[in-house]
Amino acid sequence: MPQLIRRIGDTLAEIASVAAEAETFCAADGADESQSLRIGLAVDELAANALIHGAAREEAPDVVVEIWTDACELNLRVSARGPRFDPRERREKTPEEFAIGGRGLTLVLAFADRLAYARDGERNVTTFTVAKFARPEVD
Amino acid sequence: MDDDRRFPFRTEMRGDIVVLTFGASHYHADSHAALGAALTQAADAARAGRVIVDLSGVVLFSSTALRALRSTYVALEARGGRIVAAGGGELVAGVLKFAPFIEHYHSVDEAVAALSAAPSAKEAE
Repeated sequence: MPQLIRRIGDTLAEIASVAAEAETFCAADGADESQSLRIGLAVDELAANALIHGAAREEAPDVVVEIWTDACELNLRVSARGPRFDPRERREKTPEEFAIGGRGLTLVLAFADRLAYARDGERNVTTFTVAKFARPEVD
Repeated sequence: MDDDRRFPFRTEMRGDIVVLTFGASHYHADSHAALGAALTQAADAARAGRVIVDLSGVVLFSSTALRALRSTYVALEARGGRIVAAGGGELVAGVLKFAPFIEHYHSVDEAVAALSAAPSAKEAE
């Protein structure tokens, strides 16, 4: 089972670099471009969110990104220290709050085929899954 | 590598409309400063308050990019202007569906036609 594991420090540039690597990894495993891009987007949004939510703590969030593939699916797991944060929970936002942030998780939810969340000790663990091959659009 | 090389932009005028072409294919979380600077420059250059962002070479557009677009939309709207988007890959189109403040056209030509049909902020005065 092809697998990629990366630890992200505290910069947005590192997130972008890992997102690009994740996209390339999925494409090299034969996934459709549209599906590899979804993984790249989800790495960006989930890792950035983990950095932001973990930044208030003394301890660094220690963001770990894992990607693995099988015959049918691309999977991404983002694990980070931080206060409990389930990205699937609906959060009502004022227009101002929505302007500042919040769209990232909306995008993650919209582009996932499945999104799972678990609390593991002090860590939030989010798993994003998409099909390896895009489904043909039906009119 | 500096932002100018990672995120190149090109600006051209189509009549009184500023067309800002995004030269990179991916706009991740680290693109915010470069996007903000390029969009502010385009908005400042748009005397008629009309800007088109040409995304035809873009395949990935994150929420960071959406936030930068929204800031420019708010600034232009305050002076009666508009910003619209054109082109981009399938994921870009999907992401822009979550930005109801910005209209998305298939091509720059289509966007120019739509903006030209509406009075500019200057003409409306």
